[in-house]
Amino acid sequence: MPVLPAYYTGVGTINNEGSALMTAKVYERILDLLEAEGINTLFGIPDPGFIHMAMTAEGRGWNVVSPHHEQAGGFMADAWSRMTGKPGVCFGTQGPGVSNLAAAMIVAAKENAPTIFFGGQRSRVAYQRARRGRIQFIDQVSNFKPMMKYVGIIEEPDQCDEIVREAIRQVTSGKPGPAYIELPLSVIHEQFNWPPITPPETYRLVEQAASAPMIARAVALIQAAKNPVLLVGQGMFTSRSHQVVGQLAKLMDCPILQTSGCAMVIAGMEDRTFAYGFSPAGRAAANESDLCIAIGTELGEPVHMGIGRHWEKNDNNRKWIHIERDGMAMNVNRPIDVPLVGDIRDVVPQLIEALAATPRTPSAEFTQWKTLQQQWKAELLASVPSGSRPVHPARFIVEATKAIPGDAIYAADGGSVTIFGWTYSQYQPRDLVWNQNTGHLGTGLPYAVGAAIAADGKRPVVLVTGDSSFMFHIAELETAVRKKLPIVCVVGCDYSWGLEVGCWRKQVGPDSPETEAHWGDWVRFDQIARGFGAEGVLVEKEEDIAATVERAIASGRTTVIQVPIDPDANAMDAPNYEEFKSWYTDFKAGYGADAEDAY
Amino acid sequence: MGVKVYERILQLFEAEGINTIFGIPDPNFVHMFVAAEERGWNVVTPHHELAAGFMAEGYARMTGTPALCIATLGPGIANTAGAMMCAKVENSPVIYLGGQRARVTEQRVRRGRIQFVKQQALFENSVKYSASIEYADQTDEIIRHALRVCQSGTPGPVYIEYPSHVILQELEVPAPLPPEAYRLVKPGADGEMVAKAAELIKAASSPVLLVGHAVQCSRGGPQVKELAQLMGCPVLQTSGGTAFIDGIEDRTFPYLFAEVADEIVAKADLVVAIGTEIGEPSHYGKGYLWAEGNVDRKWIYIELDPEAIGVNRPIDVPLVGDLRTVVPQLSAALKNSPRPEAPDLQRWITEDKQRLANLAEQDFSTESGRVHTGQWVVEATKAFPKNGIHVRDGGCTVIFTWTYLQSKPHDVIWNQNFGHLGTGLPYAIGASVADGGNRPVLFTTSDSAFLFHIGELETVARLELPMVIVVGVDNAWGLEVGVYKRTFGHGKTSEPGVHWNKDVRFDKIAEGLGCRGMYVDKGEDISAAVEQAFASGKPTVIHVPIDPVINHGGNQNLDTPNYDRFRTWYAEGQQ
Repeated sequence: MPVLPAYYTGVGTINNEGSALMTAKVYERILDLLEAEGINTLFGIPDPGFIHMAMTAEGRGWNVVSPHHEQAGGFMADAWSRMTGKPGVCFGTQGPGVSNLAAAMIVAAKENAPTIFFGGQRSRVAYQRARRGRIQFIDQVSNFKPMMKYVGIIEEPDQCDEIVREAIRQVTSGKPGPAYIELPLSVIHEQFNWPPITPPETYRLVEQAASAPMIARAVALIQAAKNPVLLVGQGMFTSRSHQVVGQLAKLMDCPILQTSGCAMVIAGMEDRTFAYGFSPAGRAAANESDLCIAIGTELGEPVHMGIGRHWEKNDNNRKWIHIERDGMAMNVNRPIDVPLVGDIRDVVPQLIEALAATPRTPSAEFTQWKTLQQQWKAELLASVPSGSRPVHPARFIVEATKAIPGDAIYAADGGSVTIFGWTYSQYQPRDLVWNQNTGHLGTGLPYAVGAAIAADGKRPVVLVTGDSSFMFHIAELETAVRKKLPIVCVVGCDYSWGLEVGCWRKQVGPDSPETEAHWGDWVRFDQIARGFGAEGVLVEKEEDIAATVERAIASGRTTVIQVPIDPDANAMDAPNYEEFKSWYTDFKAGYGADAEDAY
Repeated sequence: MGVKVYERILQLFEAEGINTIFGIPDPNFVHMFVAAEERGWNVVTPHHELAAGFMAEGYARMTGTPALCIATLGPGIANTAGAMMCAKVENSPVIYLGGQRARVTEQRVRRGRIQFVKQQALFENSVKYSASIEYADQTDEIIRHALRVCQSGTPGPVYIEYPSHVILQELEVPAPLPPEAYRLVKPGADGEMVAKAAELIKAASSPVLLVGHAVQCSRGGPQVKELAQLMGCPVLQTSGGTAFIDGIEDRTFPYLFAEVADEIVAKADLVVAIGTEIGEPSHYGKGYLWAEGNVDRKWIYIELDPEAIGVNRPIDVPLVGDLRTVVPQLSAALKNSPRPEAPDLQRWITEDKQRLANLAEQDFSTESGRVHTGQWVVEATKAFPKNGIHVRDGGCTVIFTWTYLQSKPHDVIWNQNFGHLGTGLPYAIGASVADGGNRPVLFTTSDSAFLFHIGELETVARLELPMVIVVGVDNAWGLEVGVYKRTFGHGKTSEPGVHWNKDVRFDKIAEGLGCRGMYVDKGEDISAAVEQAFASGKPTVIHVPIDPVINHGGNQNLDTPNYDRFRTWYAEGQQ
């Protein structure tokens, strides 16, 4: 008989079969079920439907974080999840609270984020009525169903366990994605006799290793390959598989290619990690590889589906292994020689075990690529423009990132500023939060907050962002201050929608009116920051940036550093723009079309 | 003569008198934006697409026409999702134009396509009509159907997808048709029913008008004024219909929130309900106050949506049609036999004036020295400029506003069906843009509501809108603090998640965004500050620290004005 966990504080009664039942309210039970998964943080604005849950959660030592816009709460939950590997939980009160989450739901689905959204609602009796003009009442389920992997309504308390567990099951299985659980007011306060809480392995698949024959085939390919590469995507990060993937790379002594979604660097793997597409070593390694092990990536457009552009020339000579938990994803974008269907956290150790006795030595080419990478980085750094006012965006990135300490979490947001970041960032973060599938501006600050909360405020967080992006959810600066989060926001300011200015000039013409792509150059983010109780600094000289960032990080206080950047360079000179354009290509036949065909 | 699809869309909207576009111009929309600007449209870019959706709503309420909100594919249109749901509940005719990749991409089976989601399916359930311009030559019929659907029956939002392959295609099309050629425009009611209604009105002893939100949103004020004067009767405002009609302000009383309104309801033996859902805040026309006095009163209902008739309560004479046409029909039938003024009308007017005066003269002193919310309302609305537009946002502060309001604005913009905080600032912007930036806009808001879309202060500054914003600051989600106390008792909980830091200065934030900022901590100084702010000609945010305990209703939960009445709105499933 399972032992009741110590945190269970309900009053116990014994049922006929002799196992203990606990009496508790539905909202308490929900917290119990989430705690069984190690979840201890709740994001949302507590309204009548959720005050009891929020209070009980706080009483149990949970973090309860109230944003200034529910959408931001949804993003915070996503970032929390990326940092912990567990589902993030957020809620919105009935009507407008939950509708404010709609955008975050769409984004969570696109980001493959295992977020559980709770929505308040009136009592069940209200659902089927034919009435008009009911205050704050809408049919929420039909609005959110198209966005979710799973939708459940707890109509009766008895259904609570199975619905919450199904949501957890759905968000953590196959391709991760969000779930919505509706909590009618009638149900949430009902008292019920519950069976004991049992651990995850009793109600869902927790381990998912690949089949032995497939592992054997993969190992054979690895041992036969001359230039294997690991192509590592967002899934590595969100499953917190840094360590095992690093171990595999070491055992295989091969390069790690970063997808655009996974620009974090595994500790100890700095020398061998190259950005696919955005670095010469990355391009060379992709091109010359004869085996690619794709780990936790959708093999999406930014990596040309594994077929086009940098893969194309040598496609015939290359084998593919794909470690992916969703069996339905196999072979969709391109043929896979050895599909390893399973969880990265279980499959990579299988490969490590099978290869442990026969570590590889690096190929000559690999050694050359490492050198190439160092040379390129040095040349790149030497080529960064200097001395301009406002600061050149490349210089902005270099200065903002060169002094970031090794344990800092990096958050990125913005259009042009992000593109400059891919090339020029001097920081190799273990943890990087950025919205890369959706390309959703405005996620940066909420992501930074969620990540900081997940790290218990113990690690500094540095957000490098464009100014337009920063404006979306700027009020969350108050949340950061209130929770005493060590978040430093470095804002590159051109007072425009920079990427759009570029579109205007390139698509419409250099004399286009750039209608509404520019806004007030009088905006002072440092003042706004101080208005929120944060620190704020305006830095106009490039030589002052790094020191200001360092000081801000050392202070441990929420800080906004405003740096005016060159708007023309930001709009027109994004590096590797052709590579970025080559992503958007599925309106042509084939895969990975030429950049000039993209818009 | 060929016209490109993006230009044709603008032409079709112009045929309905629409000349403003809200949204962030991304690659799908640059051509449309240039063309719109060249054609003299207002082009307004927010700092969050959700705000664009609300701005469009605010615009629609001021013009009586549909409004256009655009957003780029993927994240852009996703950001508007909440505004679509809000527009549906608020019955706002907003047309959302969403960018998308070329149609060929829709049915592909691929993973990891950057920024791509299948959009139509996402929004279908949130709008009245959803379609994609898959073939360029379907532009006319699709856009026209959008315009048709969003303004018919119960008005509401529409989603139209605008894939990239059609944008630049050339159409061979004739000049755009006027609306009468492709849809029903302002239909009138059946003549026999109108005659029946007129007879009831003539025969009634105490008829009353119940005026809802749609009267303002369809700009039907002048027509309703004519009818009210012919009927000599009082006018009751619903919770959504809080705008006052020019010329009959004095005889207009808020249902549920004024003592004379209780008497008017009890006495009424005939109700003419115009442009209201007769919803929960009006107790479906059946319960609470309607259950007193002349409970067998007769109902005439002027309503555009035939399906609404009889749903919430029985209707004796339904007049199905557009109120802008139906009300004049009724007035025409009464023209030759106007009713004398209701015998109690002058007494009601005097008593209600007294109510307002008493409220204004109440003792507003507080222990904390911070401003009493009632005084915040009185002082701000005392200085409401003539011909101003009043915009509201907030929880507790709005509840106080219903009671203490000292002004009678001809336009009130507030989100009342959905109770959606954060709509205020974008509503104010949309309304002001629709007005051409002429009339002064007074925006009274709580701090929590104001923070949702505070970035739009830059938009206000950029567009140089004549706006004064008075913020009641208690650094808390006031209504939620009250809920904690009501539920658990004062001091029994730490009230998690509903208090935030006291160092926030909205005047400083405003200055950082390019507006003027003022800090006023004495209630008696607010009025002068508001006047000064309007006189300055620059958009201004006035930070007013209010007493948090009074705002949330006192530690014993006894002090929110008319709270018990407000709670009766939530008829079911909420207690």
